Amino acid sequence: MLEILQYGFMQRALLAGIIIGILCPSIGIFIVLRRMSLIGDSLSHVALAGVAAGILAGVYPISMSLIFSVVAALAIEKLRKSYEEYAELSIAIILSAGIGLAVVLISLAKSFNIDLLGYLFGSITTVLPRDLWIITILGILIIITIKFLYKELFYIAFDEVSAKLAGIPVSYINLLFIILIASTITLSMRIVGILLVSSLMILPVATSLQLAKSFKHATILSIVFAQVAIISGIFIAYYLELASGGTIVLISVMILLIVLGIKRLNRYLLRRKVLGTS
Amino acid sequence: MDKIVKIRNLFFGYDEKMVLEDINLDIHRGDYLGIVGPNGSAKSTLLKSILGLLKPQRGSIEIFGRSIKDFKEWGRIGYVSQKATSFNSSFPATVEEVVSANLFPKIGLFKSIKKEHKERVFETLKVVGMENYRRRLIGNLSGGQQQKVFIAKTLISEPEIIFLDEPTVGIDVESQGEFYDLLERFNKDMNITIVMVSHDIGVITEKVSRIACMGDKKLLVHNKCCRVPFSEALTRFYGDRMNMLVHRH
Ligand SMILES: Nc1ncnc2c1ncn2[C@@H]1O[C@H](COP(=O)(O)OP(=O)(O)OP(=O)(O)O)[C@@H](O)[C@H]1O
Ligand SMILES: [Mg+2]
Repeated sequence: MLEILQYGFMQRALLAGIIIGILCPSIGIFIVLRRMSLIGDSLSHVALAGVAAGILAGVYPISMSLIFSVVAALAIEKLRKSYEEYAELSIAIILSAGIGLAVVLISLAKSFNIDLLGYLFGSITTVLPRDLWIITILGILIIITIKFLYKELFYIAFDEVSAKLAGIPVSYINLLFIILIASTITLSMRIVGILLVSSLMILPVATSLQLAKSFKHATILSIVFAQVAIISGIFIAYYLELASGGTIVLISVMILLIVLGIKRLNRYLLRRKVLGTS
Repeated sequence: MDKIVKIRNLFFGYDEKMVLEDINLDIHRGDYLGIVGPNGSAKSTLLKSILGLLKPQRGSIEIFGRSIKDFKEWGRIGYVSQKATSFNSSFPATVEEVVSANLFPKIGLFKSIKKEHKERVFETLKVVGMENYRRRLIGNLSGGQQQKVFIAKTLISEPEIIFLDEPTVGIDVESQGEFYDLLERFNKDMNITIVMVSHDIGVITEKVSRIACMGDKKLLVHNKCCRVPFSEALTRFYGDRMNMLVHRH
């Protein structure tokens, strides 16, 4: 079975997958707890527009998509300040603009649809050495940034107003954070696909929240769940010739269902025990 | 006496309609100021303005001798908001993690929590009697226990003044008693200035050293010399209905 590890594309896919499996949940936990889940969808549609623009212009799609999504992220932060009471409105505005632009660009780029499919749904066979380089370097940079700002991000997620009052530079950190989200989405789309990136940010976190005994515990668990889903997803996608993104997300859903099932079973057993002894 | 907060000619409205008009207030070091007034009389609004969370249309607010606009030493101020216990209750944070949050600015960016910080958290939780709950999830505690945790979180940064907005809502009578004793200790033993919004007239008349009555966009401050003028002042604001309440205590 392990001979497939000798294939260059498989090594690249796994390495990229492991990095993404740390990135997505560590960003995702803050997204989920701040109830910003829509932001991932919104930025990924802009990233799609970037990919289409890149293909159309003959530029490396990932760098184009990175530029697009970071600009969109900055726009969301700017809009979020003008519509403070309706933070989700700013996200919706960017979401619509992103889809609109993506659709127009894709219709212009008629002949490249096959390439686009890979970006949309994720495809392990297409991770090129240059993709792996950008994923590794940027990925490690993002992970280090999160590690350094972990406690501040935690406080802001818990209570933004108190964090501000305690003297944490909330607006700078928010700005940096949204840029991190945009970059993570762009880096992840090769493996999980644009349409499913935000699921990979949210599902492992949702699962970990069912079991977490502390914030640190929740972070670690969500990374573990993401790694399990990604690594097994890549292998299954290879053997069954499936789109890797869909496979990974379906495994994540399955893990969530199993955890929910076990919790329910435990509660049921507890009730039986209580009834039995009384 | 040392003036910690100085408010002059403060006007504030969420829209064109003002809810605070021409407010003047001084808070001195060591004060235990109670703020009372009917619902909607802008008590919370006043606290938020003092803390710089709301921008007044007119007037000046100074805190520790600095305009709130360019105030930076947030560690000197503590705030427990009216909604402290209505945070996302499924947030996966332990008591220890929540309380240590107010140490973060002191620890500094890019650095992580050390053993000495954990000890500080433990000592502070001991003050409010919650040290045995430090590994529990905050969302799994009762409302009163959560409130104590939030007080500990406020205390850990060693503030010189603490603002509390209706801190005892939803707390049982016994815990309320403990809680007020705790505040009194902070005030008397540690000389922490306390500003507390409360509807609990009995406690207000008994514990505080000064009382500010809010109503009709205005504010009236009384120094405590004896209880009778206090009650009279309250009656003037709340009407006869409150009169009965005041005398019941
Ligand atoms: N965000 C807001 N936007 C518009 N108006 C507001 C807002 N918050 C409060 N108000 C209004 O301002 C007035 C003062 O509100 P505030 O919350 O300060 O009252 P309060 O004295 O704290 O009341 P309570 O005793 O119920 O806590 C009220 O009339 C309220 O309707
Ligand atoms: Mg209020």
